[in-house]
Amino acid sequence: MSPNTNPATRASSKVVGLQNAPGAEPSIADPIIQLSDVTLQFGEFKALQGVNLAINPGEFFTLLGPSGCGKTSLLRLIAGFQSPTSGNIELDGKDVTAVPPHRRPINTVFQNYALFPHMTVAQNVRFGLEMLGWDGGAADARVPEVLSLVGMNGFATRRPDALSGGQQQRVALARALAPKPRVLLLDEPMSALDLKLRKETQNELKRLHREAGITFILVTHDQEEALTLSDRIAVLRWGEIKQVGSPEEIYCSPANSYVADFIGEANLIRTQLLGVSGDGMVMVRPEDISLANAGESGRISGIVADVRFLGSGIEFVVRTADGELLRARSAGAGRLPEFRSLIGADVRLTWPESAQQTLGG
Amino acid sequence: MRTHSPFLLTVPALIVLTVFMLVPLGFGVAYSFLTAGPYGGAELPLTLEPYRKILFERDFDESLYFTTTYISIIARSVILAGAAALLCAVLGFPVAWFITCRSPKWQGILIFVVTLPFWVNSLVRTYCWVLLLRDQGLINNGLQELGLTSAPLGLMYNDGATLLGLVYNFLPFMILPVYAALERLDPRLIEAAHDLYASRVSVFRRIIVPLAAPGMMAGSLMVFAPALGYFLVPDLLGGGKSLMIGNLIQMAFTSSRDWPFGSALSTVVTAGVMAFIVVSALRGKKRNAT
Amino acid sequence: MRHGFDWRRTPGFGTYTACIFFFLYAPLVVLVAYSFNGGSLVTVWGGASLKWFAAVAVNRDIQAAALNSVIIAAAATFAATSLGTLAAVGMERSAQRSSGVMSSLFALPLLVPEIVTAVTTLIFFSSLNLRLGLMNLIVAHTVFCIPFAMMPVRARMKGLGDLWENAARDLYAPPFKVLTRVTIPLLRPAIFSGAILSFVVSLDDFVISAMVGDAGTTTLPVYVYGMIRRGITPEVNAASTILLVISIVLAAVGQYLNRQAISKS
Repeated sequence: MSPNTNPATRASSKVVGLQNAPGAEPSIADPIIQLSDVTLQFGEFKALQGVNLAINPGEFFTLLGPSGCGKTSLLRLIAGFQSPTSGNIELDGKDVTAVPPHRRPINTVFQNYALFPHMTVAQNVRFGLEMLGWDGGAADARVPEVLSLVGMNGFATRRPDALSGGQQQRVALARALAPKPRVLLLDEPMSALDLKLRKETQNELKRLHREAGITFILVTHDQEEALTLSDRIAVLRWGEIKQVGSPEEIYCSPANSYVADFIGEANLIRTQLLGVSGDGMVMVRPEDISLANAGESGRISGIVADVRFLGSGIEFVVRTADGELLRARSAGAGRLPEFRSLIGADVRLTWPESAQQTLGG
Repeated sequence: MRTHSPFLLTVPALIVLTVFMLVPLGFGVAYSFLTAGPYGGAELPLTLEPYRKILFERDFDESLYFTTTYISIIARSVILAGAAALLCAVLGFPVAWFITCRSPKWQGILIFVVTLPFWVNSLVRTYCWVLLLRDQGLINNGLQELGLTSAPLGLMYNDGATLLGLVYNFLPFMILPVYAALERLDPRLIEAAHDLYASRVSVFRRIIVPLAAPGMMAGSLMVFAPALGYFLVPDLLGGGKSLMIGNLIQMAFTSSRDWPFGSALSTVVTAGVMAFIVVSALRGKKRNAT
Repeated sequence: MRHGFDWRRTPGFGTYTACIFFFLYAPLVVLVAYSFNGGSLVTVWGGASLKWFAAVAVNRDIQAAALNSVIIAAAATFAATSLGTLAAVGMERSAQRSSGVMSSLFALPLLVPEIVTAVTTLIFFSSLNLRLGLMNLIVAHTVFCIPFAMMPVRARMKGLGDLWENAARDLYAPPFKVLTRVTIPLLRPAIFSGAILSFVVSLDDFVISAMVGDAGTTTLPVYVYGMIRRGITPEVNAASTILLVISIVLAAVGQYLNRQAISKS
């Protein structure tokens, strides 16, 4: 499954870096994809501004953000469907900014899969191989190989419209992996699947990533998906990257209030309220806050505005002196009536020093 | 590269349309400034005579006097085409509304039923009315059989017959765009209006008609523009008493062998149609802008 | 059964629509009925008979005219469909800036009155002294068929979006292969539907064929027009009915293909 054992012929030599010249193996430290100062503008609207990003070979990288944050635009730039207004894109150290998509060793799993409706599953998978000029025998062998990789071996002669959503998605994965690309792009591949199927597919993607040994770049708005799957995540907002880091870094030490708020749930408290000097914000996750015991001073005090039943636990909503609402979670759903009686009472809240994260802006 | 290669695909068709449509139109304009040849065609010198002929006739002493012969035919064309557009709108609107209110399956079927006659050869469609309207036709024979009339009514060869033929030919052109506009109309708007105490009539007047107006404009354009220069209907149903510009142009190129005059008329009618289209397009744009 | 208030039920509109449909179809039905009239007088019923169809079938002039019509329609359809399909793909996929001007040029044959197209084409051919018989008519028909060939293809292109084309490019297909392996196969029903439209429109044409054509290029509508001018005979009814049936069959096939194209996308 090494990407370098490509039986492709002359045609694929036009594809930048699909085959690495022997001895010119890129070192692990060099990024496979490098975006420098990339800006994408549609008229007045800036879809991306000044994006710098380096993606390492073999990693599972996720672009995470709400809709309209520019993550899909970024993916389209990497795939080559769009050219940046300014800045450049490098693949394996070569500038590919002006290289059209059919000359980039990058394949995409499209959001709606984009399986060719006039071709069978096998013809779909074979398409890229034919375009690369693989010889017939090699292509014939490759098709069942990738189909069994995604567990779709029995479906080679079916048409896409005779497949379920989950099956279509597997075929789309097989089709994109068949030409042994250097990078696989996944554009919200799970958005069309139901919850149960989504969980299965996440495991499946993890396995495929391990087995293929190539770089995966996933676009999603689902933070849980991003946290579960990724080696590293870039959080985007309004065309800018707000933070890049491992899932732990993003969750536990967000770089700014946007990331803190977007990933998981967060209480953002102004530092003055805590009697700490400086004019910044402190982030504390609701699950880290608890009610202070009698006699304990606590970090902040307020009035219980509401007590909510969450199923797995209880959430307190506490109004601080300046009107801010803070949320604290606690287990012990069985003590709901007892906690309910606290509504309107003065309470003090506390959390361990380590749970508190000071944010820039 | 990506911006240029798709454009190249349009080039062959553009060349064909330019050479065999745009250039001939230019030839037509050029001919309208030439002198008629003795057996058709045209020759130098350059002259404005063909245009002058539309308004003035030359007496035998070469003096010009104003004539309404051609102007009245042009005016009839404009009036009949306009009346056809108006009648199509009035007749077609309730049909379009009725279709819009059906289930999607029935909408498809009814639209097919509306458009089917349009695919029938226009000569055949017009000829059908000859069979019905002529003196020995079905209507006159029927009326006489029933003893309602004693002699044929002379239903053909008048402006009414021409108008009827135009409406019959172009009615689908009105129903389709009006239906397209109504189909896009959000039913919640109608329900909201009823909720705000509007009666059926006020909903129709205040909500449905205004929102269907762009469709009616498009439909009027699609009826008026081709009706203005239509040939077969006035030729078969109107006869010599209800000539339209189309007949005049045809005669100039056939029986009267005055190609420059026919070209001048062609230029005038084309310019008129184009002006009408541009004005309605601009009005449409203005409507969208506000 | 009593209905509550429903704004979708406007009283009387159903009956009215039925009347309009009657208005649209009754004349055609009358023609078809007359064409089966066995009598030799047009409007006096002489029993049902196919004898006038038989007369049409053996009429050498009608056969020649029908052959001309089919040759012209087939050739113009082929040319207009090829040119129109490529142009439709090109227009839908190229940058927006020039498409306003291009759109109007492609719509020109629809906007210019038919009679004007007819006489200016006549002027064009005669001043260049191009007398190529059927070829003149094939060219003239190709021009006004192009917009009809383009219409369904453009609509389908809009519906398809660039999803599949992007997928093909992503899988290393160069532009030409994207066109031949993905775009055109996906457009096939729309292309057929455009071809049928073109064929019907070409068969339908009278004015341009009459003006541009000469004695040797008489098409079926031109011949039928001549028959009508010479006098209304049962034979005219039979010939007209044949034209009517051809149009309706083609329109139905076109509609069927169109539906398929829509339901697949």
